[in-house]
Parts: sequence; C-alpha cells; structure tokens
Amino acid sequence: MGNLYHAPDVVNDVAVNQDFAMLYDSSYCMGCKACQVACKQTNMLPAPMKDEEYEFNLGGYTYPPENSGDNYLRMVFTEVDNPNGPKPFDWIIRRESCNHCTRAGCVEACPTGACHYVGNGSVDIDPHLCIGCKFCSTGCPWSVPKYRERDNINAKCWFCQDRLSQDEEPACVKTCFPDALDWGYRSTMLTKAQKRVEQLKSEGYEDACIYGEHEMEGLHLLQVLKYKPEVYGLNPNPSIPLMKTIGEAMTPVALAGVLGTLAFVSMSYKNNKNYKKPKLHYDPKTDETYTQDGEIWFKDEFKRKHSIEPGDEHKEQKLVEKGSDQTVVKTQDKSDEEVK
Amino acid sequence: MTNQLMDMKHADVILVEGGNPAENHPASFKHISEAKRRGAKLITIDPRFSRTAAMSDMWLAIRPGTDIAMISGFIKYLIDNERYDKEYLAYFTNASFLINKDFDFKDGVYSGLTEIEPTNGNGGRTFKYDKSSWAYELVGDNAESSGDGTAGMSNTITNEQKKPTGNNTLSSGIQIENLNLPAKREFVKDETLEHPRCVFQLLKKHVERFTPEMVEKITGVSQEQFLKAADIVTSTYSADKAGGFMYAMGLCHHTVGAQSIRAACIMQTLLHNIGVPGGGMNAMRGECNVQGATDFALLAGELPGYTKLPNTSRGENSLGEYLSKHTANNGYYMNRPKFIISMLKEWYGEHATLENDFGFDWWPKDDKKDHTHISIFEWMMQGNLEGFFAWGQNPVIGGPNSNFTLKALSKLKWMVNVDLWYTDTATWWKHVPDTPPEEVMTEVFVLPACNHFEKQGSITNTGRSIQWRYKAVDPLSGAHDDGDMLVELWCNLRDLYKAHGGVCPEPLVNLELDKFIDNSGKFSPIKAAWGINGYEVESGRLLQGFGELKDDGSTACGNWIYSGYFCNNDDKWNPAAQPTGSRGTRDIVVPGGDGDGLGIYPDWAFSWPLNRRILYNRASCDPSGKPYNPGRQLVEWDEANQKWIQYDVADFPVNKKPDETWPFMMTDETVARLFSPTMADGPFPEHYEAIECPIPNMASSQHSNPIALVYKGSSKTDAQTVEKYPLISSDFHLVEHWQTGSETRNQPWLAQIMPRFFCEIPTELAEERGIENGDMVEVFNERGSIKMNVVVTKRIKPYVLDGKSYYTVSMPFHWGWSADVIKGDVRNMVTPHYGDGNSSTPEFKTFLCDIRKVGE
Ligand code: SF4
Ligand code: SF4
Ligand code: SF4
Repeated sequence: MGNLYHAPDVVNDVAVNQDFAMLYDSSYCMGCKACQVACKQTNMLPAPMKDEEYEFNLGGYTYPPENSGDNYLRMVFTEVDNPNGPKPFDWIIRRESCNHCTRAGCVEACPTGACHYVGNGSVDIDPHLCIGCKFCSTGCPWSVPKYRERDNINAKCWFCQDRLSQDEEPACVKTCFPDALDWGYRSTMLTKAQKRVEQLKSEGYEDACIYGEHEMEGLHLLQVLKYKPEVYGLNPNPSIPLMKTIGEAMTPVALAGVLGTLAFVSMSYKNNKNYKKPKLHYDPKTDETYTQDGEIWFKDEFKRKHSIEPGDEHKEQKLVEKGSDQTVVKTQDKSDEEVK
Repeated sequence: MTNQLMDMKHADVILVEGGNPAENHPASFKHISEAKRRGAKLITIDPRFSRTAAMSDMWLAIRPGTDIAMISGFIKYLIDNERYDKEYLAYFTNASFLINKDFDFKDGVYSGLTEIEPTNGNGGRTFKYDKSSWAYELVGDNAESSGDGTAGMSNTITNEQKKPTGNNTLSSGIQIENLNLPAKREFVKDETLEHPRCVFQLLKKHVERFTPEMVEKITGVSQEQFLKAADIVTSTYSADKAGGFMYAMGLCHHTVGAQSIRAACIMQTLLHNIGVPGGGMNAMRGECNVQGATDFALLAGELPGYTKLPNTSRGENSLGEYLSKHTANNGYYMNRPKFIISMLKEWYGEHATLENDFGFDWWPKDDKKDHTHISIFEWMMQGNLEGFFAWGQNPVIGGPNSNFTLKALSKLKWMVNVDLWYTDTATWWKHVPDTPPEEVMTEVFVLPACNHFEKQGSITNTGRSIQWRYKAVDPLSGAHDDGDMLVELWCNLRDLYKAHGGVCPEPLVNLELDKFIDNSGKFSPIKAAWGINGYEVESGRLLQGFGELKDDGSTACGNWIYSGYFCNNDDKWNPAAQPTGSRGTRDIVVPGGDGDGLGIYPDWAFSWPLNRRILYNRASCDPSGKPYNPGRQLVEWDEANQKWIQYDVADFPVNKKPDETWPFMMTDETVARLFSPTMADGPFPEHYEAIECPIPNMASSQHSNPIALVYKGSSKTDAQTVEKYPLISSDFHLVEHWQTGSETRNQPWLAQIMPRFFCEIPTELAEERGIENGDMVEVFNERGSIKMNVVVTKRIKPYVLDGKSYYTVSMPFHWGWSADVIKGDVRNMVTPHYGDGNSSTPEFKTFLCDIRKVGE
C-alpha cells in the first residue's frame, strides 16, 4: 500500500495527501478487548496498580467504566431485546474511541491549536501545545478527549501516528484476530463497509448501516453496525455542541455558566501566553526539521523519515513546509482570536 | 484436534458446543471468521449467551449437562432423514459389525454392571461394567455361547476378545518371555446395515428416545429451534459440504464428559465430517502447550505417546505379558512393541537389555488405586501423603472444592510449589479454614520458574504442530528453567541413593537423565529433543520417523508420535534447521478445486504424527480412492500409475491399494468405532443427569452415570440438598483472564479490562429474589461460600419444566487472593468432588448452590 502515514499520490507532479481511515466491523468483533490492551501498550498508558482502585461496572463487561486520559479505547457491551434482525436477542459490541472527524469540534474549540488535523485524515492533540483546558472535550460531539492530570493535558486516540510513520498499521488494527478492524485509504474502507452492509442486509439485518460516512462531514473511524446507531447508543446526527469555540457567541445563560471556567482558562493560558509554536524549517541536507533555536522538532521527525519517496528533496521540502505552515498559521489565528 | 485451525475456513457449518472460542481461544476465531466470510453458518450451543453466541447465527440455550441428549437428538434426526451415506458407513465404520447376542441396554444401564469396592478409601467408583457382552460377533463364534469369557479382562484397551496365537517372536526376530501375540479377528458383518444386531441398528434403537419433544424436555431448547439447528448441522452429510465441531471444557467438565465428546464423534463420523478439510472433531486446547503436555503423559495411568502404564492387577507383570495385552491384532498398533521397547531404551540406555526385559520392572506400574486429581487430595486428606509437588499448577484455585484442598494440604509434611508467581498455592497456608497460619505445620518451598521468553524448547499447539521457541531474555536472578530444576533434583536424588542405598533404587539410578545435561551442567532442551525424536543406539543417528523404530533395542525414542520432528543429522544443534523450527509458508493447492490453498502449510513446524495435518484423511476419498469432493481431497488414488497421490501425509499404509488399506488404522478393527467397547460407561453415549441436579432424568430411571466417581469426603447429596440449594451452578472462562489468573491478575493492563469477580444470573431469578444488577451477593452450599458482584442478564435463560422454573448461576473462576493487582473470592470453594466415569475430570459445570444478597 505504500506509506500508511502520508501516501502521496502524485498528480501532475504535485503531492496530494489522501485520507486514511479505520474500519471497525462490529459484526466481526468478538469483544476480546485485545485492541484495548494493544492501545494501552503501544501508548504506554498506565493502569491502576491497586485492587482498591478498581470498581465494578454494571453489566460486568465494559471496562474501564469510562475512557480517560490514560485509556483511549474501550469496547462497550449492550444487551438488546428484539433488535431489527434475525436474532430475537443480541449482545452487541461497539468501539468507543476518537472518530477523527473531517470537521472536528475539538479542533474548532481548541484555543491553542494543540488539536489539529494531521493531514492524513487523523486528528491529533499536540501535548506540547495542550494546556489542559478541556475545551476540546466540550467541543467534541462525543466528549472524546479526556483530561489527564499527571501531565495536565487532554489526550485521546491519535491513530498511532508513530506507527503509521513506520509503515505499520495502528496497534489496535494489528492485534485484532478476526480482522474486525482494518486500515487503509478511506475510499477503500468505505467500499468495503458498503459491501458488508449489503451482505448484512441480505442476511436479514435490515437496519445495518455505516456510522461515519457522512457524520461530521465524514469520520475517519468508519463503523459497520448491525442495527441502527441508536441501538448502540450512538447519536445518529452528531453535531458540535453549543460551545464550539470560545470566540463564538453563546446564549447569555450558557455564557454565564462557562464564565468561571473561562476565567480559569485564561489564567492558565496566560501562563502559556508567551508560548508560540516555533517557526520551523526543513533542511534537506541533514534531512531534519529544526526550530528557530536549531533544535530538532520532534513532531515532524516521523514525517521526515517516511512521508516522501527518497531522493525527491524538492517534493519533500514542499510537503513538510506546507504541513507546518498550515499548522502554524492555524495556531496563531486561533490563539489571537481567542485571547482577544 | 483432528484438523488444523487454518483449515477451518473450509467449513460450511461450524457447531460450537461446550466451547467458547471467541473468549477462550480467540486465535481460533480468526479462522472461524474466515469461514464466516466465506458463508459458513456458526451455531453455538451454550447455557449462556457467550461472546461466541454473539458472533453466531444461532444460539441454543441448553440446560447445563444435557449435551448428550442434544447430540443424540441430532443423531436421531440424521438417521430418520437418511442424511448418511450407506456405502461410506459400511466401508469406513463399524456400522455393519454384528454385536454379541448378550449385549443389552435397559432403562439407562448396559449389560454387565457390577458393584465394586471403591479403590480410594474415601469413595470414588462404586460400580463397574463387566464388558464381556460388549463384544463383536466373530467368525467362528458359537452363536449360543456368548463371548469367550476372556473378553472383559482387558477393558481399558482396545483388545477385547483376544485369541492368543502362542507367537512369542517380535518383528525383529527376538523372542520375549511370556509374550503371546494375539490373532487377527474376523468380524461378522452385514453390509446392508439391516441386521437387528448390527451396530447401525443398535445405534438407531439407542437414540430412538431422543425425539424433538424429548430433546426439548431435557435440554430446554424449543423443538422449533432444535429442528432448525438439526437441519443445518446435518446438512453437512453431503459429500460437497463439511461441518466442523468445536468443543472445549464445556463438554469435559461433567460426570458424562468423555461420553459427551464421543456422542459428537459419532455424529461427525455419521455425517462424514472426519478426515475432510473443514470438518473434524476439534478439541480446542486452552493452554498454549496443553496438547504437548497430554502427549507426554499428562494423565495419571499413562506414559508418553498415549501408552498405558502396565497394570499389575491385570497380570501385566513382565514385558511379555504387557506387550501381549497392548499389541493390536490388526491396524497400526501391531507396531506397539517397537514404540515401547524404544521408549525403555531411551529411559534406561545401556541398562536396558533383552535379559532384563529392557528395564520393564523399573517402570512405574498402575496399581488401580486412582491417582487422578481429586483422588490425590482425598488421599492427602486421609493422611496418606507426606510430600507434594505443585509444579506449574495452582490446584488451590484451579482444582475443585478449594476448602477441602486447603485442609488436605495442611496434612502434608512438606510441599514444593514451582511457579512464575507467588500464587495461591504458594500462600495457601494463610487461608486454611479454622486453622490459623501459625498452626499449619506443612513446610512450603517455593521455587521461582522462568517463563517462556526466558528459556527455549518446543510447544505443541492445538493442531498438534510442534513449534520451537527460542530464549529471548535471561531470567530474573533466582528464577530457573524447569528442566534445570528437574535435572538437578534428579542428580541429587541419584547421588543420595548411590551413597546411602535404599529400597529399589534402580528406577532412579538407572534412568539416564545425564545425557540431557550440556557442558555447562545445565539442562539442554536440544539434547532432550534428540531423545524424544529417537535415534539409533549404536551411531546416535537421529531417526527420520517412527517407521524406523525397531523392537530389538537397537533404537531409542522417548515419544514415538514425535519421531521426525527433530531429525536433521546435518545440523543437530540447530533447531532452526529441524522440522520443528521450520517456518515455510508454502500451502498445498489441490487440482480441481477453487484454486485456494488447503490451509495446511506443511512446512510450518511439524505436526505429529509424521507431519500429518489432517487425521484420518483416507476418508476424503471413497473406497476406490476417488475424491468424494474433488478439489478438497487430501489423498487420491492414481489409477494410471497405481499409486497414492498425497496432498497431506496419508493416514494409512500407502504401499497398499485402495481396497486393502486401513480406513482408520489406529483401531484394531481398522475402521471408525460407532460402537466402542473401550469406554468405561457404555459402548454408546447415554444421557444422565449430573450427580447434583434438581431435575429427574427423563430418558431413563438411572439418574446419574452409574460409574461416575463420587468421593465421600466433600459432599452430601440427598433430597434435602435439592431443597436447600435449589439453583444450578455452572462456570465459564473470560477472554480477559488466564486460568487461575496468576499471570493476568498481576498485569495491570489486563486487570483493568476485567477487574472484578462476578456471577451472572437470569433476570427472572433476580426479580424473584429481589436482587439488583451490581448488588454484592453470596453464592453458597455445603462446601463453601463466596462473595461477588452480580450481573443480572438475559443472556442466561431459566429452564422451565411443568411450569416450574430452574435457574442457573454462572461464574468465572479466575480470581483468588494472591495477586499484586486484583483479588477476588475463589470460585472453586463451592465445586464438588465428583469425577467423570472415564477420565475422572472433575464436575465443574453442574452442581447445586444458592444465592443471597450480602447482609440478608
Ligand atoms: S481486537 Fe478486534 S475483535 Fe477484539 S475487541 Fe478489538 S475490534 Fe473487537
Ligand atoms: S471525535 Fe471528537 S475528539 Fe475525535 S476528532 Fe472528532 S471532535 Fe475531535
Ligand atoms: S489507533 Fe492507536 S491510539 Fe487509537 S485506539 Fe488504536 S491503538 Fe489506540
């Protein structure tokens, strides 16, 4: 397939990025949670070490009871009676993680530009820019990003950008035994999902559908569902909640409600006020991306290695500059706007 | 497993009964999913709507312990609807064989039931079958006098009705004292399958009671659902379809465990699903190496390679007498003396000579005293054991009746626990009921072992593939390879015996374990592998397979079925150059098929026996050697060249023509047994209820298996028990945890995905008892009481008989007190000491209990 992180299709000698997506097929998912553990492992996320720190969750199977800054992915189990399908009773399983929206509420809500579009379909939170304000969580239709106290940031699934850059699939996809998870071009995944939905319909699952084809202008986590999204507890018409960006007007009541938070946020932002995303430049000779102070900028390190066909420095430079420019511009736009 | 996981994709129907592959064998589900993608139907029979049921097209909610009734129903359905192939049955099975006139079956009991004195002072088996009437009618038999009186003698092996020949010469020409090889039997057959005493008609009569109404009454599965499932399952009888049967502990953990599996074997054989791609009787082995452990005499009463221990109570006092009993009169086991003498030669080396019966006297003997798991603890409780090794096992949580186990352990003088973790079996002395730790006098030694990344060796997977694994890291200081510990133990014992003498030192002193020690004084798995594979005694040349074994002591082989897995003489020290270390990904594509590989990958590791991937593969071709399902044959007769073409390694002698080969060469009859005199509790499987069960047996007036093992030490069952403890308890395993949890409960990532011990109860029971989802409850019976959170669910259905509901309380068993991360009560506090009639496997899955809210 070529590079899983950036797959430059060369059109008229110009590199354009095609989106990648993850396909989760709930009809092949056996709820083994191997993906959940693989996610913890690849991201080195700690779990409680003491018996007292664990609690029972109703239903007995969905663990942990909530996703958190140290848990980006969990499988949710629901028992359903008389769903519209060939089984009179079913135990359904769905994946709960970031959906990687085309129009992402988290990015729109983020005051610092930490939440950003990576450019390959994924949405990531840059931990260096994140100030832990939790606005992304409020801006997300599913409240996906979760606050993490140990390093004061909000965190979520980032589609394993580190692995993608090494030409590996995300860890959860790699580990899935029955191939309920798949990774590839969004267009390919969509076709596959459509085929599966057709097949499920022919098996009697009349309401089988794809969740994520059009939602939020298209999610990059596509889910094949056997029943209507509501049956899985998924909002069929997700939208960015009222408070999408701080700059945008709100109803007076809601505004009053968030004033406190806002005060706190502006304070914490003040502490970070002098932080500016460094201007970056790429040196094709050393094959590195540097900050103004001459330090290697870690975020681009993986892009540097794998995004471009080797030997084509010109194209390489262009792409990276384009990527960083976009990010920088966006960051500054937003922070200016929001601090005002 | 007769087939391989990778071959499962060819199945048209997969029936999972007594198994839960999505949770307990997730790796197998990759292949089940592949089959599903190709359009296979998946049916799950389970008391609980498991994660496998969630993946299935159909779920049959069976009452725990009634699998035989269900499968007998399927068998009746397929016979009634003529979903079988007469020609196949007559050629490949014993369907046409006539059975002795005196054989009888009345009201749940076969002919020959006799009462016996229990072998364990604390109970156990109290009845036994005299099997002389469970015999084939032989040519020359006087039809009036039934059997020849000797038939019942060797009732655990396959050699009923032996007629001695007086021959005492083995194939190599050596003569053995007391040897008397058996004569070949000529069977009386009726190939039309019409004779009332032929196996087919007897089987038909036997399952007659299991009509859809009866199946509904016994199992609780509605007739409509049963018939729908029966239609799908038995549709695989047609030659172009294959049906796989997958099972695990859900069938085994019953007092009728072995017979439940046999029922499925019979069904699969009738449907012609054995020996074909996508079919098979597929036991899913849970431990990564449990297949390997079983191959190396996991069971009490066995030696490596499925060789029975000599039994002195049956007169097997010398090698000659032993071989006379265990050498078959036809089929592949005519070669048994080669395997046995080579094994003795491997154990005792130069000490084993023709004069001393190759050291036969030093082999352990079966004294018929019941040395199976439950019985060990019963002996212990009676004060008959001084010391005990729990090596890589956690019997305090994993065995039944934990309170009893704890008390029994406190009767020991010493015990040794070898494990990766400080398990519950290392810390049991803190938990003995009514005894404070300081009063427990047992001395406990804990030896830390290293894990599989810290040592090398082979493991054998569920499909019999022996794969070599290499050491990745050094063990933590203080932890040792099991092999090192064992060899060191032996060295010390041997030296002590040599220095001080003692009673019967030969078995230890003459054992040649030093050949497994390398120059550094450590155990060498490679040297051990040579011994297992077998070699020529003179030259040390590794053998290429068990075909090279001799019965004159010139070859040595530790486990004949593994022969050929480590056989490259050019690079003896290099596991990667051996069949077991090979990692080729070539697959076999059979001409005439859809061009898709068989999925048997012959170059990936080595599958015993002889790298054969699908057992009994003769059955993929008709009697004349023509493929039944072209494109899916595993062997084929090439008429033009007069030879067999092998896509998989043939499971029969290929030097013979189709009509001369043995269709199922591992039995003396050389055919598959629908009627099997080798089982301890009946030649056909019969439905019995569990020992503790509130529901009467509706198939006969014999409530439970008459020869099940019931130990007195731990349980009282009578009418009162049913009144006091009206609920049925069953168990299941979770994908999140591993067996007794010592590995997974110490790993926070795994602890986090399933931290709490729980039980599942049906909604109806919760309503009746006022229990709410998440409540803390107590499950209890005479044996113990445990606390846990409750999951109220629709995934378990009540069983209703005559308007009265019976409920099942289901629990996983992975929790215990000793782990660093998560802890919970021990589920086996409530399980009883009842064992299966054939294998003594404990009854973990059906017994009585009650439930109440904590604090009520
Ligand atoms: S690893 Fe695959 S099958 Fe298992 S829970 Fe995750 S998505 Fe489902
Ligand atoms: S799902 Fe939420 S967190 Fe993920 S990209 Fe969309 S808005 Fe952002
Ligand atoms: S893509 Fe990576 S970060 Fe996201 S859920 Fe999967 S493993 Fe976790």
